[in-house]
Amino acid sequence: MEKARLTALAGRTLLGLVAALALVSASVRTVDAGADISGAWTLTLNATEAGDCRALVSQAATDLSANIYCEVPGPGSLTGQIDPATGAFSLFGSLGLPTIGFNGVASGDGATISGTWQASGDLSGVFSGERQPPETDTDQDGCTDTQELGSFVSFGGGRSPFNFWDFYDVPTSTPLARSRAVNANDLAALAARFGSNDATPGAFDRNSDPLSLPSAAITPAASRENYHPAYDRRPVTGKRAGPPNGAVAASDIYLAARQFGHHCS
Amino acid sequence: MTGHQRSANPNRRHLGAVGLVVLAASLLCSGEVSVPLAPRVASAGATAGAMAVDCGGGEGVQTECEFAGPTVRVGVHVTATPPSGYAGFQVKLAWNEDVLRYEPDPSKGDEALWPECDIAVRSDMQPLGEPSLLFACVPLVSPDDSYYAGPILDFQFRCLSYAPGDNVSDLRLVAREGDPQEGTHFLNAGGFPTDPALSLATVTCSDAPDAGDGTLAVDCDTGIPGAQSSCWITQGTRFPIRVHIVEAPANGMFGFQIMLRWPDQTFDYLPTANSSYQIVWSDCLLARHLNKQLLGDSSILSTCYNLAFPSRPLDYTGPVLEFEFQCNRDPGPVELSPPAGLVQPGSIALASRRYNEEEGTAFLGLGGPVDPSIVNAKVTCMADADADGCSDAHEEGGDPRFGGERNGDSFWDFFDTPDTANLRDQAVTVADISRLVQRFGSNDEGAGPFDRMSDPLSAPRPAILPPGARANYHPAFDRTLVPGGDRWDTGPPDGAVAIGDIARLVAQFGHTCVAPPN
Repeated sequence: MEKARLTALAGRTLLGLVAALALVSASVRTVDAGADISGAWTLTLNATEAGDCRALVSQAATDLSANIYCEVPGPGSLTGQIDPATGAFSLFGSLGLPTIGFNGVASGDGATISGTWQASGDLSGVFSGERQPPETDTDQDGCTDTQELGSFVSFGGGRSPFNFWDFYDVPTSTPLARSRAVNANDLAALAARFGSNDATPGAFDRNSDPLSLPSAAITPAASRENYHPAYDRRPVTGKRAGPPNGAVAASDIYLAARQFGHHCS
Repeated sequence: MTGHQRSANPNRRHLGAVGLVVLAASLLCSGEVSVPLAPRVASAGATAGAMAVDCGGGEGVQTECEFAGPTVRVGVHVTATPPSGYAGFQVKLAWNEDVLRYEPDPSKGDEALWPECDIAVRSDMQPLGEPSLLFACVPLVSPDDSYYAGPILDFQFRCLSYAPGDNVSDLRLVAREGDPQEGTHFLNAGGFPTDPALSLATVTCSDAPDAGDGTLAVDCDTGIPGAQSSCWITQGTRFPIRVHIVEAPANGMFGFQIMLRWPDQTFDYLPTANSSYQIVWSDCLLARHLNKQLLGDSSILSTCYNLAFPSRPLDYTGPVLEFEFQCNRDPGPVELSPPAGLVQPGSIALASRRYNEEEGTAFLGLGGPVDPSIVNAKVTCMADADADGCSDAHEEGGDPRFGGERNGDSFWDFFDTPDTANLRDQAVTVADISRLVQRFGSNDEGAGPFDRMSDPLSAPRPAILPPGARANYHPAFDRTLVPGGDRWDTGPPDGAVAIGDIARLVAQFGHTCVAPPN
């Protein structure tokens, strides 16, 4: 029963999107070489409630699929269609919670997209998007947004482009640097700081910049000087890891081990 | 960019509002409430599963061990798995650095016994001046939940002190709560901690010979026949310590020399005015007693000879010496945080000649000193905030017959009365009834040495006749009934030792705080 209601709602939303798409289609000029909106995008939902999103769009002829991640409420996946001749497109799916549809058009040079969005609950607004350089790494965790929006977890996918903490690559070797991969060096680096914490004053604590340069690890591993937030995470439901909790402990080793072999190089 | 800035994106708030509105709309449409699952973290005080320290090294978990050798094997066992299993663990083990030193295995993987331990991580905090060890085990591949119970870790320690009295160390698993390194816990498949129930082990580094000739034992509870080697004493309470000959040497003896030692931060030796009063052995005809506490060493040296030597070697068994001790009211700093309400247990111990060749404990035999086997006593002092004779741990218990269901800050709720030496025996017995009868009818009307406001721990005057004499009144023998409480629940004095007091004492008859708290 409830499913039927949702289906009906989705159907009405789609009908609205299609109608809007028809209107938009009539007003845009033809894209000479055929529109292709494949790639990574930065989306801003410019409505009463604004948000920052990243999307990775794949286009095959007129079929579209997209992985999208909004800072809140999180990840979503969309499917839809595009008219390559006009650049008008529609996407529909889920975004963390209920359903959402995008109805837009690509600019002639394919660098921007814009249009409207409508979500269940009678929420709606306009959006705009800019094509991202492929190397964009919004959260600076070593995985590009494109990689984080991808489907392959081992290659950085299934992560949030806004969450620095969900890729457990830590500074290793000499000089200390990240490798964009979670490997044995990372586990060894955690082991070298196992037991360190920020319970007493020190150069770094859980609120320090995780991109700052840590001090070289000393022995014993639990020395206060060894604590740096780059090596510290906390478990978070539904995410691979969250921000540091002030101690390099077993849970950190465990979370890093769960990402062993993942890389974004 | 700082970590703080990373979570301060202004758009987050707005889109969060979108999410909330959408969620609310969804719930209104669906009529169902769906709440995202919260992390499964044990609430404060709640536990799932259990870990224990084992000092036996064999089957099962042994929690009290005595070692004569230089090294000690210590294990950590999972004694109960969490209901949903576990996917890893962290253990933090702490000990007394004056007694034990952890000797890390060059290969920490050899210390890990958990079958799923692909990654073993260790941090030895001894170089930091903290006698503790942090160890974690996690699997490399995504694990199935483990339901393995048994030994998970194995460590080697070295005994540093064999000095009787200073040769006992707890090996304690540090809880996660309040520990900056997150203490001891299981990990579930999401990486979240689960707090197990934790239990400790006590190790004694013994200087005693492996196999002696005859046996001497320290008895910490003279109220029970034989030599009791484990006792629980409330802080401030005086208690006798006896030395027993459990087994005489094969060729008999004509005397003995004992050296008794104890940790001075835990116990006070209370010497009597005449040391000969401490001799229980009736055949002791020539005695020598040296209280080395006066010399700054917490020990006693006592010697007894029988002049029948050499014609008639003796084979006496039974108590030979008695001393009086007291659990310090202020135990001073302790190395480890003991369980709530307890002071780290101390050993009142006989030092062997291996510890002190000249003054160590020995039978005096025909051919010279004979080294006996030695059994020492472990005494655990328990805090008693209200000084009523029931420890805080007892009063927190659930059985009033053993001091439970009482207020740890109320002196008046345990009706144990003082004897003529102003000593209480931590139990409500027929002797307490007799003492009340001796003062029945006394009250604090008129001038007198004590009234209801006097210190109940002050020494009462000896009871005189008639029982109702004003001089007999002392608040130690006077109580009221707590309104709304149980019939044994007593409160502060009302100025008269009356029939109600006897009734209230009878209601507590048999209550005792001598046994270990539940």
